Amino acid sequence: MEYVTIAALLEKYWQAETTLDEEQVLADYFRQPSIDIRLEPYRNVFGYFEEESKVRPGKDLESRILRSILAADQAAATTGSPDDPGHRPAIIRSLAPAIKWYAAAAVVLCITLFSVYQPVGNRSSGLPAPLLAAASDTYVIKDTYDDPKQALAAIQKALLTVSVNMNKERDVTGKQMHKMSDAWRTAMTN
Amino acid sequence: MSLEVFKQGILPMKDKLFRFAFRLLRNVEEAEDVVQDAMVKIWSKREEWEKWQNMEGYCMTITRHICLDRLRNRRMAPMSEDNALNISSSEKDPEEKMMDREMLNRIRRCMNTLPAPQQWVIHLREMEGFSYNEIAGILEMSLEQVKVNLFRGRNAIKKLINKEEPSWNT
Repeated sequence: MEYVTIAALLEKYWQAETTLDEEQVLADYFRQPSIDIRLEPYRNVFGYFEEESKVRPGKDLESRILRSILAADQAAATTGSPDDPGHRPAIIRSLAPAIKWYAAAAVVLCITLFSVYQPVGNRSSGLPAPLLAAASDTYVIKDTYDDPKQALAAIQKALLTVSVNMNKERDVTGKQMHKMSDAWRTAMTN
Repeated sequence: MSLEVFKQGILPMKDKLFRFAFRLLRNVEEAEDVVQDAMVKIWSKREEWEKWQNMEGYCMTITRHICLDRLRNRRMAPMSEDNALNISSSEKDPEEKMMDREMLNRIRRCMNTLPAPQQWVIHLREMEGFSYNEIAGILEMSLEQVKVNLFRGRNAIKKLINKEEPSWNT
């Protein structure tokens, strides 16, 4: 399409006087790989709108919605009207974010415990602990430090790491609970 | 029967409702919760569906009301960079892509700093393709207000573009 036509349409667009069809013509024009260089700066405007219109919610939202309406029906059947705000089902949330934090905390805990309780044989022979265990029937965990002060410092450090990560998890869980509480309050007031 | 109607006619609106809720709340999780809440509300009113002249517009209005309730209960947080979209063009060299992305981010920032009614009108028009009348119904404002907000919002974006490329003004 020639420059003059698009430039005129664009001017109409800035004046908020275009129809939906005319806006579609503009969107189609700016989607082309090659356009008039004088109009090139406006390509990103339409590109931005197009990208934003492709934003989608999480994949599990549909199933969460269906579970919610079934829960609403069950609540209505057993306790009363579905419009009664007191009988609204709580919002069903995706567990993905919480699981991520639980997994992270578990990994940190395992690594910490493994590093603190490494067997002596592991260091002296150079073999990994599982191989040593396989080679010997008696796999005894022994102290790794001769100096009690060093051992105490190591344990304190390990416990601090665990504590920090547990606090992080507690904060995240607390925020989630707070949001759920807000959502419930909102549901009750609607 | 209602469940089938819901699955076929209403559930597919979830993406639109989500984008609209996200535009208002700037939080993915909350926007999803709002859509879920809106859907339960719509489902609970299934006896009235036949009376609704514009189902999509009605669903958008319900979503907006729930969002506004939530906004009243909290101070709005700005959208983090994590939530920003990564946009790229497949037919450009890395330098051009970087410039495009920079400009797209500027447009996004510009859009996010517009007054709320301008953002909502632009969103409903540009991203969802609603008519002026539908937008007026969803946002409960006059047709004149819709056009004024659209004009001002678009021109703020135009100003940004022309500021970047002063020699290319139309």
